[in-house]
Amino acid sequence: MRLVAVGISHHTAPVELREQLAVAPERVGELLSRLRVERVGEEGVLLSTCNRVELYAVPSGDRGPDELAGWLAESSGLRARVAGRHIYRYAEEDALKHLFRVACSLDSMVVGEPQIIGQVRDAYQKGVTAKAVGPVLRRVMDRALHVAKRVRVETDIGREAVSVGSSGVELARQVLGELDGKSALLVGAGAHGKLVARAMLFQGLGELVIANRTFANAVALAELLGASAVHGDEIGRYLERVDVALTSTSAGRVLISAEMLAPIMRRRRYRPLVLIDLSVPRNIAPEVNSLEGVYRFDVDDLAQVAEQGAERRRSAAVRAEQIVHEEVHQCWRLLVDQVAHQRVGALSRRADLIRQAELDRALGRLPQLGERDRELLDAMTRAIVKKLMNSPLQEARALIAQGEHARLESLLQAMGVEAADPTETDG
Amino acid sequence: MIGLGLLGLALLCHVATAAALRLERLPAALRGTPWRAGAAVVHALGLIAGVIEKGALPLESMQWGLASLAFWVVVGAAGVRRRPRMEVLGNTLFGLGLFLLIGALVAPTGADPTRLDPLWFPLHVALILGGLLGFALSFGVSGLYLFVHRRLKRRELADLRRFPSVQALDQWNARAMGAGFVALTAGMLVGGTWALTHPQTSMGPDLTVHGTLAVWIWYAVGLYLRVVAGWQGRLIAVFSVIGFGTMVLLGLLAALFFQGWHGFGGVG
Repeated sequence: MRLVAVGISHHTAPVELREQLAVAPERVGELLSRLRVERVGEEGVLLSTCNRVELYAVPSGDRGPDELAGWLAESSGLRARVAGRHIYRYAEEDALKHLFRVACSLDSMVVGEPQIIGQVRDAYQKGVTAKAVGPVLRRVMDRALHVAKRVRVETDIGREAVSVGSSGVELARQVLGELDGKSALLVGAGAHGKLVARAMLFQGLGELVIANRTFANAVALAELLGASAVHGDEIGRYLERVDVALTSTSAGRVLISAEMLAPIMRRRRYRPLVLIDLSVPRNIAPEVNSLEGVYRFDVDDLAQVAEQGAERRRSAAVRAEQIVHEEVHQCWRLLVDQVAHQRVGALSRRADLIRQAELDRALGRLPQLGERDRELLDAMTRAIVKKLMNSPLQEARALIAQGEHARLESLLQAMGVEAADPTETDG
Repeated sequence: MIGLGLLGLALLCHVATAAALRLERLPAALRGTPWRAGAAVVHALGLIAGVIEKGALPLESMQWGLASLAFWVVVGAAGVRRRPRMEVLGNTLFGLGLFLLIGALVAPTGADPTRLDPLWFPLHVALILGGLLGFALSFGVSGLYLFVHRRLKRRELADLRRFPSVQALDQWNARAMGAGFVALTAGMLVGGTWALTHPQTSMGPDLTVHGTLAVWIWYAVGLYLRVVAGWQGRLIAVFSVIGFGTMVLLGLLAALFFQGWHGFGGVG
């Protein structure tokens, strides 16, 4: 059983190198075909994202991780020696573990980020389309996706907010519940404001209105985010009907004061209003928080939520690592057993080949035998071989069950079965 | 006696459930559902044994009424707990259920059920208890609302994910209060109709009737403030907490506790 993983990631290579090694989606199929044609690997899956370029492969013949690493570098026009320092190489159980960790987002820049599962699934699909996925990688990739799902379900790894955007969403949800159908007002066009607004839209925000001193800027941003634009002096009117208001301006002064908001809240009949002030200096007076129905937060609160989220993800990651450990052990055992059973099958096939050859030779010397006699001889030789092979086959299966693969190999070689073909699988 | 014994055992099982939830060493699968299910089964068996022993529905006395109410509160709490972010609310309601069960175990035993009207009385008591259940839910939800609201206002944001949003809590409060009010009103109408059709029953100065009326007026005012005057969120949560905490727990339940269901007509 052989499995290799080679590649680079944000852990080992700077972005300049990652972008050189990156493989465009339309080139993945071609590269995987070359992998097989050039007899570098029998099976392959290529994962290329912003943060990593990795090849998971069952190598051909006696090729090892170094050759696959060199091939990966050269296929992107890089010299193997230059890229080689940054390329990591994992083999066998370590390669499996690396794949599981990647799929579970334990190796990601932001641990727990959800995109990686989709990227792994996509890479797997491309491998299938390129006919580069065989029995080993099929089982391994299916298992990796299963483990990733299990980690998502059994741990909180993906549930906590760790960015400014998701922290803003988290705070709004704590007041309003789900954001589906809710409306928000974004005052200004600051980077943090855009991040939070984008994250809220992603979570199903029904309507986003953008207000800016410079109306043209509001229109441009509204077009970008699929929102509507209003003039900066219309804030009061919109505060009366939206559920969330974000301020992200460089105005340097208070835009929403308690005096301004008090009559608005009366008209809203104290329906909850979430105010998130992302500006420094602040645009929303802290006193508004004392108004009935108003919940005001600022950048420090978002940072606090993000930090707590990161801390909880770190705790969840410990449990996720345990799950990966269990799954790697189990999956590797299955793969190795699968190959071992196939080797035992080879022993039976070898015995039958010998029987058939000897029978053919004997029958060649006895042309006078009729059809019935020939059948009798055939049945007799089969029975002899079956009885002779019964004991070694039972012993071999017992060794598989005990995980004694080295002893199994000795037994098979003693019985004349050639050393394992590294890429041999049962299909 | 078997019924009461089983209710006592159910209380112990419920307490064990609460303890098991905190035992980190137990596997997750063994921490919640099996214990809760076991405790609920023992509780239900206690009620069934009570029915068999008394030959009447478990509503004929204060004791059995509270035990039934406690059962529905703890079962409802388990359901609530399974919903996202509702764990703390489920725990709050579970605590309320235990409180009611303890009340049932120490309450005075009831009257001879043969003297009660077999058709009207169970319906009347069930509806009144349904009303109290709604107000109990409203009370629990309101308490949690005030807690979450206070933390948000103070910007104490650690672990807030465990709690429902204040908007969701406000909606639950409105539903619980509304449903409780409808049930209480229906219960009062059934009881009143029965009393009017049984002129031999003297109404007299009965604490339960007056207490129930006071509770009804309180929640009628609360719903009016919510629907017409637009009170919501914190204001209505405070209203609910005061209403349940003083009028129901201190007033009505105390009256029921010391007097039984009613002080007239040989009922209670």
